[in-house]
Amino acid sequence: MYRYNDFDRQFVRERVAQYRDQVQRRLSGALTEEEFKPLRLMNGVYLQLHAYMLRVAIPYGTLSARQMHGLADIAERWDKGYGHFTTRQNIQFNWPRLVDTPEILEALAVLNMHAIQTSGNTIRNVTTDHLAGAALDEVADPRPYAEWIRQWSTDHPEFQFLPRKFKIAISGGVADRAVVRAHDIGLRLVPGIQGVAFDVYIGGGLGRTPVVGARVFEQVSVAELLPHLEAIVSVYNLHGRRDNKYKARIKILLQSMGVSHFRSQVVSYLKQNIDVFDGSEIVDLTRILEDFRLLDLPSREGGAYWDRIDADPAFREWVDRNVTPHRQEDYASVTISLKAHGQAPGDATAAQMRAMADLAERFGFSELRVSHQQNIVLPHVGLADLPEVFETLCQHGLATANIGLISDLIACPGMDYCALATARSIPIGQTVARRYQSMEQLLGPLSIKISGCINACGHHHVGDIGILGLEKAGVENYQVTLGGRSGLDTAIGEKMGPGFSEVELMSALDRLLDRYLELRETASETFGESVLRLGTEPFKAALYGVEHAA
Amino acid sequence: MAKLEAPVVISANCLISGAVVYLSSEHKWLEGLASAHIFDDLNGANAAGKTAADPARVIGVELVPVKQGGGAIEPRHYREAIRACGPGRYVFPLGSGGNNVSI
Repeated sequence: MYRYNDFDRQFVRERVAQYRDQVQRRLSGALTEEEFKPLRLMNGVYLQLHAYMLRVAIPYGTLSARQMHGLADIAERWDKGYGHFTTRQNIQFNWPRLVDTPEILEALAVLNMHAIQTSGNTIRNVTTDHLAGAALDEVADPRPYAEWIRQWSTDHPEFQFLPRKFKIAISGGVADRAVVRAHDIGLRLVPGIQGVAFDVYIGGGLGRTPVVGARVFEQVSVAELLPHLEAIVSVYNLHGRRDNKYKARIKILLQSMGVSHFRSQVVSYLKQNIDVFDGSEIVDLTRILEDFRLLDLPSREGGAYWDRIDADPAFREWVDRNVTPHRQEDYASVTISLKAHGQAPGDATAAQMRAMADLAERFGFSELRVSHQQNIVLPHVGLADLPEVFETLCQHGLATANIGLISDLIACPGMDYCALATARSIPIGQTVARRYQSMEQLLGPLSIKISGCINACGHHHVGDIGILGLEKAGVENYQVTLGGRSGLDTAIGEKMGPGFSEVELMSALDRLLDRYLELRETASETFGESVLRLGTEPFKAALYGVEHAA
Repeated sequence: MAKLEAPVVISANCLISGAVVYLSSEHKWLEGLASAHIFDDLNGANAAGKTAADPARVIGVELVPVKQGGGAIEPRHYREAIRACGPGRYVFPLGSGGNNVSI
């Protein structure tokens, strides 16, 4: 894992001191709310419906056990005993008092953490594959490059006031587990002529205008990566619209300029600014790569694992669903579900955070990951240790065997917390999870993603079934999209038609899922595969009932 | 948004805690919708809101349309009902959705 150096520690400490002073000046009346708001947002502090919310950065979703313990302490001391893991691999605390936020940032600094650039029109937390460094299909570990990008983008003097927020994701596997084509810039590590290189996708994004990113550059060498990123963001910074925030993302610029013209602008910038990078960044990368050197995992006998697999159906089911093969055959990656049926997706109590941190310390080389699907991953666990890991997870309500199933759904905080939301997401997710619990194995892999407003924090556009909560005539109304996909074949779901009340929605989902079970060719054909084979029409007819099918 | 119509209460968030607060009949900012003073005319509510909008105590002062039934104050819009109740406590009017967000 990356280790803070003296510069990092001093930088974070100085930011805490600045922020503490800003809060004091706000409370004394020296700063108005209008003056203070952008300052608190630069430190991840939002005002939501019921309270302030602090969004803490978890760079590329990687946490040490010590950091997870520290987050649990923060949840208990300054919040209501829980935290919410987000689709950007961050954590949000929903109940801090403004006066306590400097203390929380101080506590985070001790953990080598902060909340910088978790808000505002800046480059946000770089996300990546939650199985990085462990996956079987990995071309290269994306985390050192994500850290490199984090260092380049943090407090970058030209990129603190971009036209809009800017999101970068990086994937290192043959499969894309970071949804790179739904990001402003998506990077995919590929085999290069010498070592690895990057395919660069630009202009993806969900929200009001969902767009699948286009591959604008191919085979960008490691040495050329930061110059390319600098050039892309500079062209966007110069030409992106600032007059209309709904048209301010790079995807709109790319559409209006066209890929070819945009590419030529970037190339032109590169030629004119050839001396921006002097090679010292490569020295930085070398140091970072050393920090992320793949763990040398000791060989393990798997005896206890095989005995338990044979003897315990519950353990076997959990392994089938939540355990992923590892690059080393006597190890596995464990996905800990934060989606127990009926719980708020992505929430974990302080006790659960401590339990997961303890497991990481005992069995997982003190490392955890946050996935963009709002679960926690122990990336390196010996097969022999899986029975004990499972038992501990059972004791803490964390052993739900549902990864990839309908109850492993994504939901944004929605109107239960978020000031921007137009409808609630979490109760819909809770109801869906409980309603289909008994048939989720039958249904097989199926992704439901729920957003509480058009900003699409719940990624509804790329779910097999997407649900978007809106307001219609003073009540909550839920639109359904079908056929969305994430991965390299990312597709935006097709909007089906008029929305539903929450009661109508559940009946519509009943009909939809029944139709899928009727129409699938084999038990192994997934919902997404059925929609791809048949198109959305038969499913749309089911959603609206026979009388509306015509 | 629907046209603002009386009766209304005046709401804001507490600067220090962020909690939802309402202006009471004693011109104090208190938590709990039940403590809110109901204004039957918008002009009076606007004037009271401006007077009470102390930036050292509250932020985001706004008028919230309400109705009264059985002695209780009820926001007309679900957003304000959720603000008043807290996460997970406001039940879908038609009753199928879950209501236990908080863990």
